[in-house]
Amino acid sequence: MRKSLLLIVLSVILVATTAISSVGAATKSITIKVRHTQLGESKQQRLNILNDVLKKVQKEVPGVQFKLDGVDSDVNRKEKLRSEMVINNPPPIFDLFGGSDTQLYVQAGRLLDLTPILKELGLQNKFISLGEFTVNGKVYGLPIGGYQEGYFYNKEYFKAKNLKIPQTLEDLEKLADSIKKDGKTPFAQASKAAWVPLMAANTLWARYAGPDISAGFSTGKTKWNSPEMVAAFNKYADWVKKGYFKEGELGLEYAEQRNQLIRGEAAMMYDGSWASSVFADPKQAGDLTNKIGYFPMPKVSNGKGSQTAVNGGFSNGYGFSAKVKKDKKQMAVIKSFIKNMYNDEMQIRGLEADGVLPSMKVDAGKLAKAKVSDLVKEIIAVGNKSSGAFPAFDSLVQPDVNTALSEGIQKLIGGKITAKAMLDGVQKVQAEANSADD
Amino acid sequence: MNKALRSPWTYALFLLPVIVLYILFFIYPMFAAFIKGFTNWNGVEAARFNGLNNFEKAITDDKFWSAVKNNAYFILFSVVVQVPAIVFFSLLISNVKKLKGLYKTAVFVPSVMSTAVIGILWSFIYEPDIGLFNLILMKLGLQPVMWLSDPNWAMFSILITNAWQWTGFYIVMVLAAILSIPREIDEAAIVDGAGSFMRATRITVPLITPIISVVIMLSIAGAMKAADIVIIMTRGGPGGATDVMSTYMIKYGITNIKYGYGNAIAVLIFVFTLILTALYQLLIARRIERVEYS
Repeated sequence: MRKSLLLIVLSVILVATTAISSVGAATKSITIKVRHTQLGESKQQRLNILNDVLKKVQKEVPGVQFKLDGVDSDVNRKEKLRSEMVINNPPPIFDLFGGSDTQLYVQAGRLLDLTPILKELGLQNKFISLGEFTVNGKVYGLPIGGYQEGYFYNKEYFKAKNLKIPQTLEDLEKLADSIKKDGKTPFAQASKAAWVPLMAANTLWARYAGPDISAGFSTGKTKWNSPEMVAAFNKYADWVKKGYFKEGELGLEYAEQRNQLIRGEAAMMYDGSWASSVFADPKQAGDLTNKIGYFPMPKVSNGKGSQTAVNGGFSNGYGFSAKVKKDKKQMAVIKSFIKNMYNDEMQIRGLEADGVLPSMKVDAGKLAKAKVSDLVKEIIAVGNKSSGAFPAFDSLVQPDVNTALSEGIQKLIGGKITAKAMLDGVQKVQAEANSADD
Repeated sequence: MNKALRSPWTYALFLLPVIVLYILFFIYPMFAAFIKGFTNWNGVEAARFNGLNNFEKAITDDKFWSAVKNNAYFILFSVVVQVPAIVFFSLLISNVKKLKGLYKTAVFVPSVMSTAVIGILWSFIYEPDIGLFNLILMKLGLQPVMWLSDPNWAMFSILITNAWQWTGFYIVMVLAAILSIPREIDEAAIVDGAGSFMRATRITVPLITPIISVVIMLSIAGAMKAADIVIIMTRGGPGGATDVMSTYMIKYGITNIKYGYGNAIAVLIFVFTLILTALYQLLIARRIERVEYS
């Protein structure tokens, strides 16, 4: 009797557990890795936005779990994502740069074609520019925001010393001289990562040689060692010699350049609009909160082309692995992610919380009502006054050329090479890269 | 004896998992790297055979030889500065009567810390304005040194940090060797009237040469694969001044999307390491590893 009772109990348990597990299988949960680059205090707001979007996706697509994988932007772009693309194992959702990166991954069939999804969601005409993520008429990535580069400056210091915003490069140099005489560093800079000094250099050469010159390097139409380019880099080397930058800045991390400005050690800093959120946060900017202004790189007398064009664009955003196409559930996640990440609400939230310029055509009424800092307003005003924007050189040239120039600018700052010799070397690498592409 | 244990197949079966793992994670990647080293490959498209082009490019590239030179500095610094310091401190610690454990732990701590932490810690010490070293220099009325940003000092700064990280680990190894020397030998020397210095140089050091040889060997291997400390402290900069072979491989292989070239560099690193260790074993290690307490 006891034996049969035990048997019945065990059978019931077996049936019950089988039933429960089969119910679980019906709503099979999947885990999706999301590679982002929102690390550190300065990007906390952007991480919050991402987390909120993922929560919304979880509500829309039941049974999906996300695994956040935060990696430094430069490491992800130049090393981690590249290695993952080689073995065809990128995360389903990842931080992606437009231009040459996107083109390469598209050639190898690693990126998901987003054109049908955009059409389905009615987003095909909602972006200001998808140029950097478009290859052969198809869209493979979506910019999270726009950026613009220019000089951030200490408004209080400028006011106290009666300094004016420079209109010409000569004005800028006079300004730098007077700041230097006052015992401060004119330009905050930290060049351990070479892209940092190359931001200012890129706009400086665009002023000397025209904003379109960078687009011609990879086609052979323009040359790195042209006289205008040499003049621009000679000017840069001259600034180094005059002590416009902090000594030893070649060994300092990017974040340190903001600290030079915040500590009051330096008076100006060339950086991207993404840096603006730091100056609205009392925890990070301290006494200088909301006391930072912004102006563009001034014009160069006898410079070629437009002298008001700004270095800006829509080059950083999210891309998706082509592998997800095979999985309906993953595709549903991607669609939901795009729907919840790319809309007016999130664009305005990015602008308000983080000063990220919209990458989408946000409703003008909503945009006007957005609560943005004076600094962001100044950045938008500079963009509106400019004749247009030109993309950063690194989205236009091959990676070898970027590496050669990155080494070159550090040698130039270190006084180990002349501008002409450096540019001759870069041009040689450019010519080799161009002939290899043919 | 059990019949199964007498069959060689039993042993083969037990070895199989290790052999499979070894082939999968060592032999196969090595051959794959060797084959890919002869191709023009961007990593994502089909590789094209290009003969010896990659190797030719590497050996005619000044930047590659500059990276090789930096690896050589790592080795020289280990052998000429680090090893004598290791032996010196080991002798000192072996002779202290009190708190020997504390000293051992104190010197060992850096080797269990992650390289990332050490790199950042030392970046503070090397900071141009408020770093410890420059504060000391300025207190002494000397000019501050731009440790990590001056190409003439950057490599030296990394070598110091690397030595600081690993010296303690080797000290513990050498210390174990010193403490395992039979006390009778030392006591006999004392009876014969040998002083501390003479006992250290004539008895202890000769008896621990095999372990010193191992330390040198490990330092050479460590120097050839050095990468993490360089990446964290300088990223190979300024202007490539501190690139070692492995960071050169990352920069010109992965960053530049030239995986064929990167594989060729990996093969060259392997070959150089093989030659160096073989030379060391044949010319030096064999002669000193046969010490017996007789």
